[in-house]
Amino acid sequence: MTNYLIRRLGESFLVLVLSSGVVFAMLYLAPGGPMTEILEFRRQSSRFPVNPEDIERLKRQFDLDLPLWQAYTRWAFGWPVLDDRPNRAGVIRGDLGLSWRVSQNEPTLQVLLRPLPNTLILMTTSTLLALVVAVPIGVYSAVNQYSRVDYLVTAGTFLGISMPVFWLGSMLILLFSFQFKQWGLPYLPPGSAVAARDYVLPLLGEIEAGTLVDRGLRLIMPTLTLSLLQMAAWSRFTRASMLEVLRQDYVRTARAKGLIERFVIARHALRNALIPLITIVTLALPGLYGGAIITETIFNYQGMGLLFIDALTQSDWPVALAYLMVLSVLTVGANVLADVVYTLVDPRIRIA
Amino acid sequence: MPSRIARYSLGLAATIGLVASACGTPPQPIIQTQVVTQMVEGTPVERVIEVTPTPVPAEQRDTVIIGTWQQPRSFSPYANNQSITAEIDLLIRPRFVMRNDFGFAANPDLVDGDLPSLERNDGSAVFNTVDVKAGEPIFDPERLIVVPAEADVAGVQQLVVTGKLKPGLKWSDGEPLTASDLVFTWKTNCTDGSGALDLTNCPLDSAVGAVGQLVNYEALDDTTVRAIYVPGAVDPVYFITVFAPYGVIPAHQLEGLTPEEILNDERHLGGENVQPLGYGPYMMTEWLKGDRLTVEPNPHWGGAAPVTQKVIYKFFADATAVSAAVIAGEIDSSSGITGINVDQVPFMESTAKQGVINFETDPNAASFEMLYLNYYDPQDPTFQTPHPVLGDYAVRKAIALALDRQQMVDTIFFGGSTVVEQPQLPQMMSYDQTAGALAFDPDAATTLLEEAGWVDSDGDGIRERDGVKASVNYITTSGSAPRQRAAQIIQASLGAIGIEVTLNFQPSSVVFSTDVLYNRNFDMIQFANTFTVVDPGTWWFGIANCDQIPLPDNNFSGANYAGWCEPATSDAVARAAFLTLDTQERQDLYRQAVQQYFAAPTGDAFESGGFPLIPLHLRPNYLGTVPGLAGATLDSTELFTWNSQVWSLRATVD
Repeated sequence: MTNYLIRRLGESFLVLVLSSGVVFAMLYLAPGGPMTEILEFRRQSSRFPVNPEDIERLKRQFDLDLPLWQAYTRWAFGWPVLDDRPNRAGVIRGDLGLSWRVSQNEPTLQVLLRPLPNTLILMTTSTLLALVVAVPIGVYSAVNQYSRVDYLVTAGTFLGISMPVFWLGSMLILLFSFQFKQWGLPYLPPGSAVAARDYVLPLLGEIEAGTLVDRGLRLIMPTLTLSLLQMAAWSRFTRASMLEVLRQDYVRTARAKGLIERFVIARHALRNALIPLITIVTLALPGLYGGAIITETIFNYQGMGLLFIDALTQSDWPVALAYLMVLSVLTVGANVLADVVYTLVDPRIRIA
Repeated sequence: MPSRIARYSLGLAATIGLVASACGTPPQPIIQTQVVTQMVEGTPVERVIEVTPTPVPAEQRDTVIIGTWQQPRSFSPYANNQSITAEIDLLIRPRFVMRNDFGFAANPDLVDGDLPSLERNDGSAVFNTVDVKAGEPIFDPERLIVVPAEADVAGVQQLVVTGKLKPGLKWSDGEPLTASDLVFTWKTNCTDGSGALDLTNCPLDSAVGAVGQLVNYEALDDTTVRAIYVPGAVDPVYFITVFAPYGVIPAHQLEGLTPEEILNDERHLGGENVQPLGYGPYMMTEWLKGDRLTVEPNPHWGGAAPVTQKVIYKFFADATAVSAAVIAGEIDSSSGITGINVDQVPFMESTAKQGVINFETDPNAASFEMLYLNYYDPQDPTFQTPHPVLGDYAVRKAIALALDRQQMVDTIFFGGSTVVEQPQLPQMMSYDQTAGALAFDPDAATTLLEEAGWVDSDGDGIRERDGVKASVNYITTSGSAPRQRAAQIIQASLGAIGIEVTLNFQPSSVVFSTDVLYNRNFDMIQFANTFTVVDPGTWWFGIANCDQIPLPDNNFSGANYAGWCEPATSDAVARAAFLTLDTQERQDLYRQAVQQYFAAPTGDAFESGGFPLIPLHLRPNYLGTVPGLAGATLDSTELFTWNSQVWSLRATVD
């Protein structure tokens, strides 16, 4: 196991270096960037010519005048050190740089940490909700295969899987925020993780901004949106896994021994059927950090996904790169974790 | 964790289980008028503007929320030109010279008396006669730039403008705001490393890129500033220049730091820990980046106290989320410049009809879209070869006649905009209805092309002449739904007269890059200009002066992207922009350019013919507000927060 872990960590490091290089190159070569603003301003002001010195100064400030490999090694490893510009320790020593735009001159790590609690709350809630609902549905569906409920669940899960998140989110806002308000019903706030001021809802009275009730109300629609998608996928997975296990000899043996059906399903079938689900859920863990980009954007939920979109649209590459790097580390780590956990819960699997 | 889930579940159950009564009838804003004196083209004019008095304290709410999808990057007054920063600045650092309704007026809370005026002959703005010694800066009337004088020059006119601040002004920390602060800002701005975007008023050699319009800017006493122009130069907006047009930074706080240090100082940029000082009706008290920014009344403000006790700027992911928040009553207002997008207009209007929100459209905002036509072949690196299609005046005129711009207004803006008849704002002094106007006449366009020898001989729907197909590319910014729709109309309109158009959408950083716009690597290119100052000087000089054609010789600078060059017109716009302040003379010179815009080329000089660009339509502005908000209204030349201190919000039952 120790040898395996050392080998996997070594491989993971190489994967991270490779992925960071690819991500850096893609952003470096993409159109846009911090030059946009000055170019647009100069275009609007015909009296003031474009000043090549200004452009050079900006390029130097952002390392855009360097060859790609050198810009990357400076970002990743803090090398080479150059005299005509600020130098950094590099990502490898924990220096993720300073934000260019989202929070100008603030350490990127601080910028990333700010929306993290919101994302953790949203993603944990939706993941748990999805699990709590998906597993029983999947089990029920498998145990009662080809029943009316099974057909209904199957249709519902296909609907959930194929429903675009942006459409579902917009429809929820339309219904629960706009229509409910117009119908005089208590409605849900259309977005944000927390209100900017106290507000009044019919029958509920005044809701104080920042309280649990306020946060809870604002969590309902994004959680529903995210959970429905995960519920659909995971219930299908649980159903398939259960069906496979229910056909195994040891289940038949358990039944032949006269065990009650509920015990057979819960003790013998479900525990084995859930083993593959552990892998799925473990691999979903980076999402707890990464957030849900589309959902957070639709509901203006101040989380990691929204920060990432902000960073991209404002060409704040240090923040975007840092977000992607942390996500890469978590993804690689989750893969290793999934392998290890799998061996712990399934004694048949051994790694060397 | 389980207890948290239980709390959220409880919240969900409570919400779904409740039923309530409908909202109350929305109250209407109370509007009054007030007469103010404004400067229009240098002349004081009395105008009636709408203002809103303080209403109904009994139901008044203490917080107004404005929604925006833009995030301020910093609050450096000279190193940031974002609309959102300017909009928030109006609350904490209002302009000394107000820019409402295409005119200018002294801000009575910051400026003592009227704006400086040459016409008043009261010494506030004068031309002195000076002698310039060799090596001293002087405005070269031939090259239209500031240069060191090659020899002694006697008897040169020098503009000197004096501005008076209102006595007793204070920063939000209680320290006095004096003329020294304005001078400190100017000096910092005009030093290398300041990050300043505009160096027009910086003395020659004070910083890389300094234009040199001013030779000095000084404080005569605590309330008096004086701008001394470079000998030979004139400035049609001298009454703005003298009052630090880009905002002021506090000398008592930042003096002693280098410009680089100031540029990185949180007290200057603003941040989560420290907010920049201001001198407006409000002061910034909180900035949670990515979430919200809060301002509260400035206790040291000398003007009328703000009606609303707190204004919060709430940041959203995109324009759709902003619109949703207005409709749901989460926020109280948002404008088309920093919030609502044209795509949401139909929904906003239908919601407004139901009384859920108020929605206002200003079809006369000081901004219009335009289509530049390249006179030169972009394939020729020497910039000498006429464009095989657009180099022909007949083709350019035919394009102008064939574009169905009213259709653009109708389909893109649902009728809520205006077709632009000449390549300028109708409010500009150079506007001359008698000089001509663009009209939609595809039949005339077809005739024009055929007379010029452009015919479709092979029946493929595209005209040819001398083996050259009438095929051009069109480039504009990606991600803009109105421009994409305009592009489709342009493609269809020109296709109908036998001109093939290939569409190309690129990020703005590509479209406005040296490689595309300044190297003139396009056939047709569409973008917009926003005019914060309605003096036509820089505009006409940019599009009609021969030296403004971006070329290797001038480092690809200048705004004459089409390559239009008619020597008499070029001289006329240069004189009007840089050499005279006589209103009548300037008007006559500009109108000469307007006439030439429509004119055919002179002899073989293909580059002298008109139609370098085709104005399309004004870009309307929008304002969505909740029914309880009174006082917020659109202004064509100013951001809508200019009078936020009189806004008031009455509570409505949600």
